[in-house]
Amino acid sequence: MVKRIALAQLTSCWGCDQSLLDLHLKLLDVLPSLDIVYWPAVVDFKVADLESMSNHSIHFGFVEGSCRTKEDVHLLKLMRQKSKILVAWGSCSVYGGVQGLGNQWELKDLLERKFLKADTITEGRIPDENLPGFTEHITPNPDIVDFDAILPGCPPTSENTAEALTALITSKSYDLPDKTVCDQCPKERKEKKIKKFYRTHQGHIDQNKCLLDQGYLCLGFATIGLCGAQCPTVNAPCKGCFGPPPSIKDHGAKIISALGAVADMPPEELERAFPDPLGSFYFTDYASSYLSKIRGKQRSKKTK
Amino acid sequence: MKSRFVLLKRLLEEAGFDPERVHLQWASAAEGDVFAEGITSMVERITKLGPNPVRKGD
Repeated sequence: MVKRIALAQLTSCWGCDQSLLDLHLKLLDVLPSLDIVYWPAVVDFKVADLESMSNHSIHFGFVEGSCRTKEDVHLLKLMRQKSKILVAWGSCSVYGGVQGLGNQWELKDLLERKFLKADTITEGRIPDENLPGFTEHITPNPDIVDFDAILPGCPPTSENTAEALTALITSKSYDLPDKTVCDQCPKERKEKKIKKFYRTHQGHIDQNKCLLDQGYLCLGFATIGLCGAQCPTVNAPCKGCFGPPPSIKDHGAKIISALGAVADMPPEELERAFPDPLGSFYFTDYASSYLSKIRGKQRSKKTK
Repeated sequence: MKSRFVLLKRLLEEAGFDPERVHLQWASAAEGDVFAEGITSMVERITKLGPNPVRKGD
């Protein structure tokens, strides 16, 4: 039976779509089983088309991106209403994404920074006509509507999405593995005692040894192993873009806990090593952290 | 432990919380006075700061 599928894009870079299209000829394995009823990145259906469909008439709904605008919230709720199985696709959808780091500031400050104070702007103004309006902060999609499956990644690899899709088409369950990037990484690990942290452009990386052992902030130990360790394999430290494995509740808390154990340096020096701790420890999942959620609660209280 | 605490304080600060609301104290079972002193000084400090603007459950 051909299954009806809809893929919706909220605030995001649409990289998840690129990653899916990168399947190239392998797409031919799944496409015959699918009838695409909504996918603005690829086919010309409008939101009105989606609105006119009956409830639960779509077998699989994939939502990419997070809710930075009120239109995003509308589309997300619409997708939930129309889909039987709704999948949070990519780290934006699962955790809030890089844009979740904006939750460190108030909306007013963000708008002023972007539209009035940016270096390239003359006679700036904050646009407000014919626009849906912004949300006060980024709330991770799973806190707005219920999802049946989540697939993190920035983006999920082509294989990740193909695997999830195939599982859905063949009515199998799709669960995330409780392993880390380190489990997939080929580099040689030793007992960790880090004397000094380096930025990636500093020093020389020994290609065969664990990057964290060498003092590069590689977050593989706290990050879910779905990507095949593609960054550390080519000597780029893991930024944790896939978020934590299911057993870890707070990505950054796990990271500082581990760093405290392996850093062999005075606490003050460790603190100086990370000028942007939230950006470093919650690259794509700050909006889903305890810290951001508490702040969000405070914010909604104020605006009430 | 101290290293973790320093990083935690930084996270709290960056996220907009007053790091003065968090206190780390070592006191063994034999150091009742150190424990009491730590608690007293923390209570004094947070009383001065007033109610936490992000109280749980509100």
